[in-house]
Amino acid sequence: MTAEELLAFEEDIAREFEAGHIHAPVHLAGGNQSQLIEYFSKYVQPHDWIFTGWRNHFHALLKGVPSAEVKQAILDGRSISLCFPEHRMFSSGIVGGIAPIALGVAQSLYWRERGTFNQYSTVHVFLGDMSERSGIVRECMDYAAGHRLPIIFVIEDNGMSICSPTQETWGEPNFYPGVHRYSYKMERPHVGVGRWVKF
Amino acid sequence: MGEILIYFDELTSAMTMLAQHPKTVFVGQGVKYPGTSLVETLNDVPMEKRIEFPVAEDMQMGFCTGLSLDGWIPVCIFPRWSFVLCAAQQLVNHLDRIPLFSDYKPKVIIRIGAPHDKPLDAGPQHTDDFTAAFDMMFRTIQVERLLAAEQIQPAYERALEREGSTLLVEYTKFYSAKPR
Repeated sequence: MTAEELLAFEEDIAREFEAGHIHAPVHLAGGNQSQLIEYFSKYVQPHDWIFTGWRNHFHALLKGVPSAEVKQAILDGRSISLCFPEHRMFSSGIVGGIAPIALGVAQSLYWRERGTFNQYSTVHVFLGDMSERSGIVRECMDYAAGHRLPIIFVIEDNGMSICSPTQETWGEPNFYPGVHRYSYKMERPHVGVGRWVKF
Repeated sequence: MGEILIYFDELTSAMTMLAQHPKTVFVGQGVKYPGTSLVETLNDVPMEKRIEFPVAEDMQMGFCTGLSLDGWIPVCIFPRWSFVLCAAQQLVNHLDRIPLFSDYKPKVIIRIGAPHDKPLDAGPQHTDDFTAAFDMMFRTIQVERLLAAEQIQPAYERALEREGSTLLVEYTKFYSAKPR
């Protein structure tokens, strides 16, 4: 998908939300579509797994989930935790909660594909910059590195957690080595569309 | 007259039964090395099926959930309920809730010891039984209390057969029980 198509999808969801058709929170982004397109085109294979948080619809679309299917899931109120098993996609609305689950899948891939002629599948874990600083994520990074598991941690750094600046809360950054990182500026509010919607 | 079953032996038999399933793996701290009496119930479980895990309960619970998403049946072992509090986030918010918000069907068998205060009293941080509290928090995970040796093997057989996850609580006060 192109950046324009991703943004058009988000616009469509914003309109549906404003019209009161979605009875659940939606987390739109804008601002990171180009970085994600570049990452997916370079590193993500169809047989790979992806794990994301609640801002996840770009990831689903770039993983190959049909846009109608993604939209229907959002209309059904599942925006926070879009999951598509047939596309090996999992997301969760709990900060950092995806990291150890992704780790288990990476361990399974390692056992299953080790010593075969197949190219290793990879697990890609997309986390925000506040999640990156959490204890559970640091534990998972340690375990993954120590056991050389096929997993890449991708930090989507917008400097914020909801509306709290990450650096103000945690202090100076102490980045973990070996992760993929990109920065972006949110073009949408954390949740909703920035206007009151009457349901 | 029927055979009198011994609690500890039945746990050992149940673990041996689970190990015969090609998809089971046993995950926890002390599954390969001595440290708790629980490890002796794994004597007939092949070493290659045992994953010695660091002290990281929340990571262990999530790791087991991840293994199950890719087709394994993890037996996730915690020797004491008190330690499971550190895994509550993954246990409740993820393993229990995943079937409610997705089409994934994780199946993890969670084995927990509810310690007794005799003969050694490890104090208020090690002797609680939180079974009822967690049972109230669960919406999908089945809870089995193993109050007698006769219950152990059927309960683990059900855990292996059912589609979702099961949490089985064993009571260490019965470990040293001998046939009458």
